[in-house]
Amino acid sequence: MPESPDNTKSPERNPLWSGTLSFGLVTIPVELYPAIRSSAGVSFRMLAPDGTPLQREYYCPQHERSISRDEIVRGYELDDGGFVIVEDEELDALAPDASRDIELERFVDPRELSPLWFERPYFLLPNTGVTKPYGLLAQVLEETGRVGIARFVLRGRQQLVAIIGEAGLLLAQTMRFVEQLRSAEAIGLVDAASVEVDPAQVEALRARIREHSSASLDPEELVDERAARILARAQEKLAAGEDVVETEAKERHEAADSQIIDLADVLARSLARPEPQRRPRPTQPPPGAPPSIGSDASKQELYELAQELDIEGRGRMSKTELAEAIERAQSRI
Amino acid sequence: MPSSIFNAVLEFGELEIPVKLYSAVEPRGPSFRLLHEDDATPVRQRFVHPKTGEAVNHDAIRRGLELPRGTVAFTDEELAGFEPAPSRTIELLEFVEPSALGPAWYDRPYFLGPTPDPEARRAYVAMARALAAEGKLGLVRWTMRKHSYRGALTARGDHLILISLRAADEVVRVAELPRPQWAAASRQEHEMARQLVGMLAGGLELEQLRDQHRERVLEYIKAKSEGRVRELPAPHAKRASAGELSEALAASIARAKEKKVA
Repeated sequence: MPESPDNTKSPERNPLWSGTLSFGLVTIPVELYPAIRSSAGVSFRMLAPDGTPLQREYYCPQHERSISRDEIVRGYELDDGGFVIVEDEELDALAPDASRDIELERFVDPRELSPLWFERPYFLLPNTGVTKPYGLLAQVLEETGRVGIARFVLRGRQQLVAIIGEAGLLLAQTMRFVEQLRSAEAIGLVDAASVEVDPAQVEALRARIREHSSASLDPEELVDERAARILARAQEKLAAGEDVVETEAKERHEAADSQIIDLADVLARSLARPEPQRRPRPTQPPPGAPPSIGSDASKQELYELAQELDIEGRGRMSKTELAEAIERAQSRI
Repeated sequence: MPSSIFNAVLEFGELEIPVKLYSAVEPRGPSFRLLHEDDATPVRQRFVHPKTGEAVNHDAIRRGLELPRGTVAFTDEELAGFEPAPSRTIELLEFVEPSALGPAWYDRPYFLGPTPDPEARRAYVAMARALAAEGKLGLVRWTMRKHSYRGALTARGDHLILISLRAADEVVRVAELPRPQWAAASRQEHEMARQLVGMLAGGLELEQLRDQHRERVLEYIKAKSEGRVRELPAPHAKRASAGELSEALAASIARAKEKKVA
């Protein structure tokens, strides 16, 4: 992980990236946190037939033993089937400035940004202490209605990013590069000029679009129906005492909104306000158990592994889905 | 030419337009896997019983959903029952302004392509033109690969684009965080910051923004595999701006002026 410029960082603070944000000669120490809630949706524990929660572990088929997260590295595949191990630090060193600094190159009208390009949303929060320039940039971006455009290297890969000011905070939205998007021509979509369109049909459709227009969209309309139904059924089962399994309280997952708590903590530290009540962290695996990725912090670790493998759609996956996707990526022979 | 990943019917009231879905994203290489550091063997995953340390067969595993008051087990068959019924319909629900959806909501983009039928093509292009003329996004719902999706339908040129949207509880919204009260900048600093943003304002020119780093990565991987590795400088962190914010702003403005003149 890249070194934070601030050595006094608390161990509980775990940004995805830390460095600086600069515009002109103004430099602001910042940290990057995902805005996608990793605990969304339904997430299952794997249970033995007797109901005991199982431990997930990674193992080496060659050595036939389980291995810990520290022993896992990312390997790039070569044409001959071999692998080259390359650490993030090496990739960062290929772009020494861009891996530590987000330099705002220009400020653009957000209407120029096509939704086709949007990849992942993040929060950029100030590293403790240097907040005046941060607040000023957020304010000016919001007032002028402009977004900042920059490129920087995150986890060994270059990202194109839009920096947005909202309610005193800076959001970073990564975007796809032009090379990452297929064109209509490349897909072989028909050239519309060859199609004879009836203007009356267009007008009729326009009228119907107007009839069915809403003034706004409540994000709550974007529901995960499957998750809601599963949760409802689980409540029913619990009430009926059906298929209920005994688990110790300390094995339960962290509260769903630990992400908000973490982000609010980071903000609070920056503002030097008293910290909100922390929820207890999950306990360590019992001593003597095999070193494992394990049940504690496992969703976070799985997410990190999925990040290493750059698995598409990882932000919307449950813990189970992450594990399955990692397994599929690993199973290619 | 890539093949379509799904055949569907775009439904708007009684209007039905057969379409094919294509991924709009070109996968970005190079590809990599997780390896055991010692011997570069690709790692595998398994589940073990915490007490015996023995691996449990996949078929024997039950899935437990943890609720605050207890954990409930589901079998794979039960969970399969929650999958949405297969459907080929992309249903248009309503239309909204593009500004109704912030960037964070957008997930994966797809191109919709028309089928060869002339009537379908006319309807397809008419729909694209109508959507573009009204300047609206269509909110849609569809099912694909055992998942139900919400998406935004938009026009680009005379083509229809569909972008899947994240679920409400996936995105942490700014409104959910405490509103910060930062140390206030002076009026002068504020003026200078606005001036600087104005000077650095411009068009996006996405074509000019390329991923230069990727080429270097591919070269480096090749070089490393051939044993030719050169010493790379350690990345260095920038310091916070030297001196007062107002000095840094003033110097930035001066520098931006020079660049414009040059």
